[in-house]
Amino acid sequence: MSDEQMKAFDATKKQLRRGVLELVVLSAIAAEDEVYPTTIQQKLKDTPLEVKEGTLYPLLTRLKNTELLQYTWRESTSGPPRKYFSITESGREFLGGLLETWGQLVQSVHHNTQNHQTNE
Amino acid sequence: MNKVFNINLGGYPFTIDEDAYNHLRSYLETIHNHFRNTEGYEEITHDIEARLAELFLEQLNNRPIVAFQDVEDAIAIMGRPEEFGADPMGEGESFAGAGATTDTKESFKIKTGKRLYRDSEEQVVGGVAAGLTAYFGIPDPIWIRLFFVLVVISGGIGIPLYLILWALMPEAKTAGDRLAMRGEPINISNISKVITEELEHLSEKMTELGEGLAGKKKVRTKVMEKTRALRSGSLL
Repeated sequence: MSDEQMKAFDATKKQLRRGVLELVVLSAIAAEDEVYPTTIQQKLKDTPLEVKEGTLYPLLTRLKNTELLQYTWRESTSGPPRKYFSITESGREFLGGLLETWGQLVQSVHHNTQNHQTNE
Repeated sequence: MNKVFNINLGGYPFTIDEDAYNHLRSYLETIHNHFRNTEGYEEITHDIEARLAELFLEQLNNRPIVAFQDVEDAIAIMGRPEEFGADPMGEGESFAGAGATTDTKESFKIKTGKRLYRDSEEQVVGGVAAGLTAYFGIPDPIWIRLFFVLVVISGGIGIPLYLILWALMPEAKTAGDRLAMRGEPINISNISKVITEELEHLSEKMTELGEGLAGKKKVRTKVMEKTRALRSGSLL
């Protein structure tokens, strides 16, 4: 691949991860009562969706501002008070919709890329 | 022998040596520049600074001074802005990101990075004059102070003017605030942009202050909800 194509490849990969990351972060929070961002980072560690913690803060703030998430302050023994995130009712609805779309996407992608894979 | 600095990060005091300080400072600068145009900027950077403070406390484990390696380790966990590739921003920004060239990013960066803060480290009364000095890039706060003294002597508005500015200007509390306060020198091409932004910021604060005075508890806009959340955060 040329440099230009490599760039385009990276950009496309980024786009793909973006949408999926939101889905995965919401799921991770929905699975627990409340979650500290660092825990989410650790869950994603050593997976293709591994992120730096700095990636999570803007995402969590945005989801909180659209009222899909909420947070409570908890005192911490190891430093400043921590924000623990939990999912809201509308967040659950949102996640349900995303999961459904995700399922359809996977099916459709699988269906449409099968030829490509067998040719190789 | 090494020089050390005392800093306040995420509400915690740290003693940090010179190398580490410079490293941390330039890192926080890139973080602030990266998120400046993002919705929730203050909250995001506040969260990041609090987490960095937590990481330092964990790493120090009773050692007295933050060293270069501690900063390096904390940055490795937090990540640099160029590693935030997967952060889903607003629609517009995800398109800008798809372009993926640094040139386009540069051209979107219009803000100078300065914000109006009260400078409590240089304060004589409330730090208003020192904050204005930093904001306008004047070499010495004496000129702003002289101005205030003159206005106080020559008429009735000096003291109320100062008190209003005191109420409106937030105190520069964190390392990031102080960086934002000092910012970069203002030049002709972006001065008008900065002024409109600052006016918007002030008018938000005005509405908030007005509502506070009127005793209304209902939060109307999202912006105010955010600032309030922030404030309750920093008080804890």
